[in-house]
Amino acid sequence: MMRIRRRLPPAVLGGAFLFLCLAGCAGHGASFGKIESDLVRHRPDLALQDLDDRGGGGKSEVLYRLDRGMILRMAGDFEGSNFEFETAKAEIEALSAVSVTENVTSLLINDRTRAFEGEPFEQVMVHVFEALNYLELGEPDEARVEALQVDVRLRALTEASSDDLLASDPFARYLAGLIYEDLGERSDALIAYRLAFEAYRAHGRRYSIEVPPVLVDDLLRLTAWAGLTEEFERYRARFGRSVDMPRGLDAEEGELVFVLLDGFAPVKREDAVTLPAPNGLLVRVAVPRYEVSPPGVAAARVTIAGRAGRTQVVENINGLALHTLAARLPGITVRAVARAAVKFTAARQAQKKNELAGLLLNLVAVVAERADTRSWLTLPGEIQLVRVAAPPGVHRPVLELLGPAGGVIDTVELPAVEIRPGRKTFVTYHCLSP
Amino acid sequence: MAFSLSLLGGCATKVTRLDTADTVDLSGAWNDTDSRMVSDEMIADMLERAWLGQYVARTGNPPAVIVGEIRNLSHEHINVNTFVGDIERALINSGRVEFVASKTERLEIREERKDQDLNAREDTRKPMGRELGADFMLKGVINTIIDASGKTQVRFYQVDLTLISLVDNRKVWVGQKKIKKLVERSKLRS
Repeated sequence: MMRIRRRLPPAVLGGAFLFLCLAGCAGHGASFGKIESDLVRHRPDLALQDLDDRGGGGKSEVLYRLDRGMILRMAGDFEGSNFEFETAKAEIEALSAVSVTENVTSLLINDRTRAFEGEPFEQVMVHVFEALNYLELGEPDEARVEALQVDVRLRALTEASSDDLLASDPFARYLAGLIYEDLGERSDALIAYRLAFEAYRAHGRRYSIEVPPVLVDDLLRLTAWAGLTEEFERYRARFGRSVDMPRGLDAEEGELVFVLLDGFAPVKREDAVTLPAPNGLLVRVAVPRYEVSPPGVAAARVTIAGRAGRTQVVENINGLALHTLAARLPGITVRAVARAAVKFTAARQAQKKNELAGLLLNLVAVVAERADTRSWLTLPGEIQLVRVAAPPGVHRPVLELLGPAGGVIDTVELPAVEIRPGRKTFVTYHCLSP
Repeated sequence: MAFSLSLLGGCATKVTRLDTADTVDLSGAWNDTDSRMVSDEMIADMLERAWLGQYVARTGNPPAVIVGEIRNLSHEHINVNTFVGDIERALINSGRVEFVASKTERLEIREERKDQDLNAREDTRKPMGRELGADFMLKGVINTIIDASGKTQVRFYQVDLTLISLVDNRKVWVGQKKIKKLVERSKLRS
């Protein structure tokens, strides 16, 4: 057998280089486009089919379950959605153990061979959406279980990570507070609201999120109820307002809590660099980058029994996702560079024995270098909330979707809800198209 | 070929039937063993106490008990219905108390009675207003405390049951059962 010693012509190398640049375009985000368009057209049934066609299972089992859970929720099947979320939770739990084979494989091929566990905020969001499902099913005790699980999860995250932002989620805490208050557990609610307040302030320093005025009202109300005058005065001085006591506590009226789930979470794209290396070999490093999707609407106004309220931003998932990736990027980059070094060394060794084999190995290794662009795309980009008091009885709330200038884009009649005295009724709405 | 068939045999799903009294703890979460253990022990305790003897001595009849709300205030989505089922079974099988249908069960029974009123034969019709009113209501709460560090977790369950007299709201019996589990998850996986 003749050994091929001559170098490959530059044209072949150039062609390979071009191919690699183009190969970087497809990713997880691209395959989501069809599902997104199904959801925008209000066809969650088609979206489920497309999700199944895209395939799941194996290393992306958790992601499949999360997307399925969210789409079922959009279709109104809260129980089915909860089943998917519970399965995802059990899988995330199982994946929390370290896999030696996965670590080794990802160092040889790429990060996509690792099982998808979800970013910390995605793991917390599973509990948030399961809680919202239970609230809409009228099972506040089960939602309370989720609020407790959020606490356990956040404590575990605090232990695991050094970045305190990754281990806190302001909306998760605020929702827990609402659940406790609905069940009459005001002390627990006050603790949850305080934690939410601290989380909003901490997060607000890193990305755009403010303490929602509705939380300030809750803090003022509950500190006044608990007799914590010093804390009450602190909030009053800081935010320059007060609330009447005891509004909404032992009231004869109930409350509609409307949650607007706006747009889609940001998509991960790939940022790749392919450089020529000595001996005709190539080196490629690929890392993920978030691309923020446009929001559905700027805000919404809900009218029930003649009273209206405008939604406020309570969670900026876009900002949270960007910050989480920025915190994790150094680790991802180090791993990618190490991987490039391993691949280069392997190709160099092969090249010493057989020029062509070395070049082919290098080509395969470089083509396989892809960033892990998997993320929970059916999450909303932003969560907004408004609470409107209403007299007990059955009402039909009206939802107005507002544009950036405050003009009404669309009006939606929501299904009838029952308002019970002294209790909250939760309604969520997914707004998907700009 | 026999070798390859035997290899394939290892791929099929394996089902082993267990006795319902066997204890198999898989994930550390609340399971059927916990439910049975708690209900058997607590009901046994309840039936030994003074309130039963006092009631029978006073009225001459066994008391009628109804199961009210058992609230799940724990960290897990516990299926409270199986727990309630275990309690009911333990109570009825003891033969010392009478048991009446709970609030949700009654709805269907009343529907049936109403239907019989219209459709059943005169001599087989069961008239309304002849239900046995309960004398005591059993209410309960399941609480948990979770302490976790890394892969180790200590789960503490506390089940509190209260027997309340429907005549005058007196609590005639309070039972408590604690379960503590140490759950160690593996640090490595395949």
